[in-house]
Amino acid sequence: MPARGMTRSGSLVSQLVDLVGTEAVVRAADLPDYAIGPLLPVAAVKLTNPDEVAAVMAWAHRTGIAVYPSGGRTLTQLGNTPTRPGIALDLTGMNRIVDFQPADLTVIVEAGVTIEQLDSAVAQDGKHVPIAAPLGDRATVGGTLATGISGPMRSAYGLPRDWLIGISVVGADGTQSKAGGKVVKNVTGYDLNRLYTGSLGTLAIITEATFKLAPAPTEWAVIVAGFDSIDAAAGAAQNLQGQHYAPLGLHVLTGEAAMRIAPSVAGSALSVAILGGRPTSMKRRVEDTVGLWAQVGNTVHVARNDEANGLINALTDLPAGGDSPPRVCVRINTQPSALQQVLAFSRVALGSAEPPSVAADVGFGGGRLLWWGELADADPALVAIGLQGIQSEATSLGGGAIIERCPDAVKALIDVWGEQPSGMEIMRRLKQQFDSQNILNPGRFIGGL
Amino acid sequence: MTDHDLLASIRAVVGDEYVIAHREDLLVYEYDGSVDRSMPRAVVLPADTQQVSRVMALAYDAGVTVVGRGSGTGLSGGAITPPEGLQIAFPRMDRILEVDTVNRTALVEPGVINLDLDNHVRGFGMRYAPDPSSQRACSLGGNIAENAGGPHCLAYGATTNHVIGMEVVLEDGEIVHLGSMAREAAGYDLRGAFVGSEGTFGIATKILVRLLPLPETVRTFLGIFPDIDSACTAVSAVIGHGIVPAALEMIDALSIKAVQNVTDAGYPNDAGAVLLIELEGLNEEVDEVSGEVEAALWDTGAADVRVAEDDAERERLWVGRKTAFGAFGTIAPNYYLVDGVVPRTRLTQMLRKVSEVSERYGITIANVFHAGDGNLHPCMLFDAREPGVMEGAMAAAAELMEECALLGGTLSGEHGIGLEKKEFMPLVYTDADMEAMQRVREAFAPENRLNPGKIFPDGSYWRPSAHPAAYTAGMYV
Ligand SMILES: Cc1cc2nc3c(=O)[nH]c(=O)nc-3n(C[C@H](O)[C@H](O)[C@H](O)COP(=O)(O)OP(=O)(O)OC[C@H]3O[C@@H](n4cnc5c(N)ncnc54)[C@H](O)[C@@H]3O)c2cc1C
Repeated sequence: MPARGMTRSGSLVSQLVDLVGTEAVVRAADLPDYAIGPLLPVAAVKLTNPDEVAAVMAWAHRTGIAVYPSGGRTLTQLGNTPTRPGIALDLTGMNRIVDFQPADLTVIVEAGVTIEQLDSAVAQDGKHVPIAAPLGDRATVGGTLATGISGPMRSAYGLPRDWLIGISVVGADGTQSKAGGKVVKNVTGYDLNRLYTGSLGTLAIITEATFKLAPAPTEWAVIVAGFDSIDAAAGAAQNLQGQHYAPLGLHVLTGEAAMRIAPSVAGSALSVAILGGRPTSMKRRVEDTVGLWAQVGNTVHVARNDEANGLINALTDLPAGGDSPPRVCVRINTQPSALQQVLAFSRVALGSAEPPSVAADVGFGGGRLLWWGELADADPALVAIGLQGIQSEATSLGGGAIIERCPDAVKALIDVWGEQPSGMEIMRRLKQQFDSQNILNPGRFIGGL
Repeated sequence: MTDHDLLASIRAVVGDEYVIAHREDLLVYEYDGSVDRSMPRAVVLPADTQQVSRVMALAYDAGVTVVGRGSGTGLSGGAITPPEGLQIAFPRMDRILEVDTVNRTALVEPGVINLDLDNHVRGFGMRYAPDPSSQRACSLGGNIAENAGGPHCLAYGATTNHVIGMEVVLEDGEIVHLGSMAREAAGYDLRGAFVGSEGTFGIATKILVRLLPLPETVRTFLGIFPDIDSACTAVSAVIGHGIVPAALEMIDALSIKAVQNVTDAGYPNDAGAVLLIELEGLNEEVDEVSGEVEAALWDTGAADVRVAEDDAERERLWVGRKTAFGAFGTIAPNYYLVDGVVPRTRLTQMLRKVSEVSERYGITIANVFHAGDGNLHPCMLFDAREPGVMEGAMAAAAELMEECALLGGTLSGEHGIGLEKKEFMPLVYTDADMEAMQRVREAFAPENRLNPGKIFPDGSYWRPSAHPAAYTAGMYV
């Protein structure tokens, strides 16, 4: 059956059909699914193996057409607006668990495997890859690595880059290569695992990933406490962070974010602790945490196992998930000591519009500012100035701020990645080295890379 | 600029006494911990970042190669400098600039010694987790360049997991900051790419490292086994049980003998192998896991399982482990080791290969290594004055690296490729894989002036000279 996209841009689609076959070419009617902000791809292909990816990339490199790799499409909001029309490369068809070695604590998966699929594949043996992304039932491993997105336990488990031990990619010119391997310790050659992670698909297309595994906690609990003031919530959280039994994740939530996570726990701010471990240590962890917080909080609620997992998922999904994701979301990267400054954003209205709800990550530092309401309808120029103000304040705190979601009209006025870092020239040269034609996700990354 | 002019300009920057250019003074800079040697043109000892930057700019303009040097304990020839090149060393940049107890970070200069940092921050209830066995001598700058590991990297990850940001001087003298003060930064992870780049991307002049709080409880076990096979099975049993200890080290019979020759570490002289296992965490957690570890050791044929009764005994067990390489000097005058990695379930197979190779080449090989990570250190012991023996050791090393690759492993777990292993890179990487790596180097150092000729195969076969083990023993550990 000929693809209906033919009528849109005939020769392009027929070239793609020649390359990867009719089945792989997405129907024109489905193209809107692949939109990135205001950009609608001129065609899309859904590929099932790295050779197809290589064929399409080699062709794109020759013709100069832009390529937008696409996973579960849960974070397409991330990044600046693409600068050129191009084709979408759907990798969700590459969804095999390639090799799971529980005794070696390693697993190899294709890029289109979802986080949920990865979790359940290794969970049967009591293991986990402690990475997380919003909407884990759709978010892919490739997308999670490309965005470098992490979940509410990043303070204890680190970032996706810390679990990736090997990677296979297709370069901008269609060359297939790999880095790392399948052993947990490796300094053979440069660490490209870390370079590709978080590069938003602007250097190469990730086709396969190898992770190291950890034994998963056998029990989970989430402890939620309500406080009369944001300061009290922050104090209680910081106190817990200093203990031997500090949790795997520790957050302070204000406003709408608090409402969404635990509507029944009263207070103007919440502290949330994620606990995991073996039965005997969990007993101590829960008791000591409750003991510490009961003295200072209004109500302390202990959620276990299924309820706890629900809360962990809700925290993970906060920036992008649910029926009504936030309309504006900023990720603040700062040191843990800047907690007060991060929480203070909850009192600052941008322009005349609503102040944000804050989800501060006490253990890792930084956190997110979230707006569900009217800010997204305010004058884009004012919102842009406000968001840039947040970015420069975060920069002055020794970190930075990334605008993860905002209206297209605002995005057009800013670099969502913030101020250009000191290594910007090296980054430009990297992009030039890896993608000389600028065909991979052009314009979406920092400084217009 | 003539060579003489260059050195004069550099003297004007750092001071006369901080440029070493006399042959006899340069002798110690000719070596690192590996087998190769080469005398640099001169060694420069800058006092701060500005001086590093100005020296680099001068060398860049003169078209001269620069190689950074930490403590010279590297085991892959990383700090070996070509005869026309300049070495920059950091004995004057050895300050711990700041310890932040709230954020649990320390800001250090590259010349700080790994153990000095750890000891210093322990005073604040924290520690610097990466603990190479050479930690009494090696520098943070060298650790960053090699992405150094160590026994406790099993649970906490290698150096790269503990570096938040860096100040770096590029080949042309430009000063840049990689990473940030926060654990995550926008843009490409240049920090991540830099760690492990073996001094080819830039010179690190300040390093912001992550510190960990001290655990509530530490418990150290010595699993005593009749032979190395059963010890390997025990390693797989522990890991396969879903236990990742803080450290899991293997010491074979020959290494036990060497260690016990120089210090009483408490290892039984008649054991076939011992496992040194450390658990850390909450009291309850350590109690619970201890039972499982002990059971796994007994189940796999342990002759005995001992627990360190106090800090002094724990310390003694660790001193044994960390003294092993120096102690080899009591068995043979020279040693040479490689540090391949295999998937942990292949350890038994790999060690059989090691003993087969040892027999076939008639070279004694001792094994003391990071078993929990599958990171071997087969250490060949010999007398390099015997004709042909060095060549034999090199050929044996090549076979061992090939076997690691065959078993799904890799060439180096923590010592780096440097000069020593560069011709073996094609065992694990294709041309395309290495081209991608070279692109990153092009972006950091377009003129390839920093530590050139390392890591990638170029067919320039070099003739190694054996490294005296006794010298290492006295010098480093
Ligand atoms: C007995 C013994 C035991 C060892 N045990 C371990 C172990 O358990 N784990 C482990 O990982 N390693 C181990 N090693 C290897 C070695 O100690 C490490 O590789 C260490 O990181 C090297 O540090 P160094 O200061 O001696 O660096 P050097 O040997 O001086 O240099 C190593 C590399 O670092 C580069 N370099 C130095 N300073 C800088 C800088 N400021 N900026 C950029 N590049 C720089 C050099 O150019 C060179 O390429 C051991 C070595 C010995 C001798």
